[in-house]
Amino acid sequence: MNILNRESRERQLDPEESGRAGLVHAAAEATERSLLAGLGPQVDPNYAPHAYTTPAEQRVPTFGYANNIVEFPHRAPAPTVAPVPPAPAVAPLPEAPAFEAFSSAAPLPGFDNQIDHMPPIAGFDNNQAA
Amino acid sequence: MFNILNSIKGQHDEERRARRHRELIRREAKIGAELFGPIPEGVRREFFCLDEHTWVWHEEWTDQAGSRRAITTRYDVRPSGVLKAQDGQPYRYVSLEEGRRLLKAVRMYNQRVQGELYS
Repeated sequence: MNILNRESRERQLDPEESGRAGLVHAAAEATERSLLAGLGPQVDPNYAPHAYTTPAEQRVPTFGYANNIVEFPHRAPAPTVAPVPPAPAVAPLPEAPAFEAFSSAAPLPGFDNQIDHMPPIAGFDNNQAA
Repeated sequence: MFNILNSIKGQHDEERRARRHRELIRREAKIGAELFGPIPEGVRREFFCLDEHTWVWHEEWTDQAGSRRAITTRYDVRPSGVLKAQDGQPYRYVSLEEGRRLLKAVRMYNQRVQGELYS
């Protein structure tokens, strides 16, 4: 039974049938190429996914229309942006010294708090008004 | 004498091939007509591949006045696009929408014809 089925599936086509089978297939392919060339890839939105299964570097634009579908081989993908490292934790500010520390501090040399006793500046001193 | 006999045989072979060719196209056209859903009563529809660069849609129907009408549309496949020719109208390129439908029909036609007639 299986043999009979296989034989019926593999029947020999007569020359007219073979000719028509090839012609119809060629016509379908020519029509597909023609429509894509004339109307662009939008004539078949599903064309790109199944038409190009080769790696990107092997893709060659064909038929002209394909330029609108396939990614050009020389167009390298955008570099991946490295993730930004987390900002270093901010160390807590040292606690501000108590106000008393300033009041008890010794006068700074040359610019002390005994300004009234500073010697007058030569030529432009603070006794000018007097 | 042999030449005459050979000539007659050649004519017979040619006629037989032509008949076979027409018969195959009729069978394809029947499959092609089924691609577009049920055919309304009183309508005769054919869609077939005439040659490597030509598709034909033929439809006959009866209008409201009872007159029998027929229209034949030919799609000519050119390298730069598909031209449509209809009875009495100038050539024009198919629109995007029509192109989409034609592409779908042509693929289905090829698939069904190869599977049902030529396998």
